[in-house]
Amino acid sequence: MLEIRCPHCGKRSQNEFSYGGDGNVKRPALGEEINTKDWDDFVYFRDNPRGKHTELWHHTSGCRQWFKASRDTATHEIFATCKMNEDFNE
Amino acid sequence: MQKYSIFSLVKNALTNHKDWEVAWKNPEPKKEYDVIIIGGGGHGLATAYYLAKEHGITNVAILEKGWIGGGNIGRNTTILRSNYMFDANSHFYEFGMKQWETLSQELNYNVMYSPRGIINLAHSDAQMNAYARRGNSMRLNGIDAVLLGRDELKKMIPFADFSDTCRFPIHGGLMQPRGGTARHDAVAWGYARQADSMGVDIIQNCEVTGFDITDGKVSGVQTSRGSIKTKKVGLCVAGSTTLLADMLNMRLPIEAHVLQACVSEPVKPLLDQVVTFGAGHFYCSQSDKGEMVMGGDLDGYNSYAQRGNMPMIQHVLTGGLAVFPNFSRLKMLRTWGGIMDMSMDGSPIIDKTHIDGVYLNCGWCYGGFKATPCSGYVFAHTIAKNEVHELNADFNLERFHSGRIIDEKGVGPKPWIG
Amino acid sequence: MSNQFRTTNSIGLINKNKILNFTFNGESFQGYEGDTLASALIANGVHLVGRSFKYHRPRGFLGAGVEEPNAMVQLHEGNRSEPNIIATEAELVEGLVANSQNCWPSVKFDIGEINNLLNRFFPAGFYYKTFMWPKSFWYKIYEPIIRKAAGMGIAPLSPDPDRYEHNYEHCDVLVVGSGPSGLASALAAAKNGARVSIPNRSACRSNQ
Repeated sequence: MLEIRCPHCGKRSQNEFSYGGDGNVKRPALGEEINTKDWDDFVYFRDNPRGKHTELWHHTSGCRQWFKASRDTATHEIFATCKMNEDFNE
Repeated sequence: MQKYSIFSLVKNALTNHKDWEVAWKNPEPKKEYDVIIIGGGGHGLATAYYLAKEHGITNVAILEKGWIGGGNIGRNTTILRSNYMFDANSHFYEFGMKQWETLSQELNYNVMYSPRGIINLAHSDAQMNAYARRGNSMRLNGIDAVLLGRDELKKMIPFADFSDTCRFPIHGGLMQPRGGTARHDAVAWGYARQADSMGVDIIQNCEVTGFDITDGKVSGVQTSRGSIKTKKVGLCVAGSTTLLADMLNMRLPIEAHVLQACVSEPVKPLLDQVVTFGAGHFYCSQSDKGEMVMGGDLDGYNSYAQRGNMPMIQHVLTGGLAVFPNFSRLKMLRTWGGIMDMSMDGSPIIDKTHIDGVYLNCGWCYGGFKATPCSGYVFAHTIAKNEVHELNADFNLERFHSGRIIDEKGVGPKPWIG
Repeated sequence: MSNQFRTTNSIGLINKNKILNFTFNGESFQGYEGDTLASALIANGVHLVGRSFKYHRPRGFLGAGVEEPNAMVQLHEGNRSEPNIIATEAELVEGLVANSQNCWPSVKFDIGEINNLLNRFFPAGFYYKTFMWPKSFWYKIYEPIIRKAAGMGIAPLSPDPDRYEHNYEHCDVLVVGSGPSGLASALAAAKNGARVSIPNRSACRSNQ
């Protein structure tokens, strides 16, 4: 059972949360021209690291806020979590 | 190669089984090969076999970082089926089903191919309609499909929950009668033995650490057991694909996720078919040893750990008991996890790459086992002829740029939803 | 004579004032409160309780607890029936019904023992080397026979009529093992203000 520290609610067990994928994916800015390769990269292509991974989680059974987590994809150790508009305190 | 048969079994029984030939050798890697296959799992071993058998290419090495068959080929729930809707998948998996029918005889290794039928349960009129559509799509592609009603299912799986108080009443289901199971380890070992006998070198404990690429062409690989020259490299490493792609500066539409499965302690024959209970995220069959083989969804977060966590196993079994309440008194024997290379549309990638001589076989999600023979067959063709086979023409990288994605589930590029 | 192999000293968990009746393979026996099925059977001189998975070799008791690999029985009947229960972990209760598994017609005379007589023809993985001809025979004939021979106990066919509640324990310190060391550790932790849990594997209290 992963124990995830929601930045708003504190440490909770993983079944209160839903995963939201790679947190480093940046949606291209609206209203600007974008070449198709950059668009395809955004939609489909991923870093998929074995090791430290920045990802999004959603506290669906709690405060229902999204937040970022830094977690090791091989050991599942969670290094840090932070609110969406913040950075990790490393 | 020593033939396996009742005669050789009896003959060797009389001499206490001391004289069996080694099933595959343990050679030192040579300095150079015509083709290197990275990954000694089901697909890698099958590819090497078909390279030798269909194309006469035998100066081949399989480089496996651990032991052959130690990855997903040894961890799956053994299901065979071709009940897909999109043409690219239908044709591919149906070709595979036909290969399964004669695989034991072809490999001279009993893979225990058991076409016992696979049933997808339906719990509403809408779902029955959806299954009728899928069944018709299958039949239009020449694949067997039967829509079963509640009473017919009651005869097949009488211990399932047909009561009035169940949460998901069983309206009926879609069955592929030729679907079923095969013994996963036997598939790996059968392909390994044949490939080895035709001259393929199976090199275990050999991890690829780098590629030699000059002017957009591959000239060799660096490994934990030295450098090896080659002109063609096939990547067959499933969940570890990104680790190799990183060495080639390639980004892929792949995410690694963990899928768990489990078996109960063995019991006498209980379930004769494979049953999937989609609404409860649960599927089940019974192994020939008597174990109930059960699985469900991905754990739902990127992982290379090859193990999952309790919440998902609990969730899977809760779903299982909802449809098979009589399983509650069985005991768990073993649980495990594997790394799924989830592609962004749920369909595989079997293609050349932008690097001359490097070929890619990945994106199998959690459906790689049933594809083992066909994947090996078309990948061998792709490598040998340096062009894709008709059956893997649509499973290209280009589709993630052109938009011709093959998304059976209609989920979109969110692999953790599974 | 019942319990002819029971020790006469009074050390242990057995309460000789409370007699419990149970049946094993249809035969009636008596034991005491505090017995496991295994201890009650041993006290009554019963040692042949099961058969091995493949060769159907006769099997008796090897361990005293969860480590017991052989003495697996089918406990209870009907929709409360449970396969593959280790006799050394089964608490003896009044009216307990237990039966041997994976043997026919009985554990004492099991047709399956023919596998042992022919064991040289059934080495590990023998099924990979044969059963390939004729092609259709694997699914139609060989596999059904192998499936019937394999497996240990029998799964019930109807839902468990009993209800259970799940209880979630939360603690600061979990002590695994309730012998003298475990109890001393638990006491020390509790005296330091920790919430302590000592799960016990069996229904009985720990041995003194």
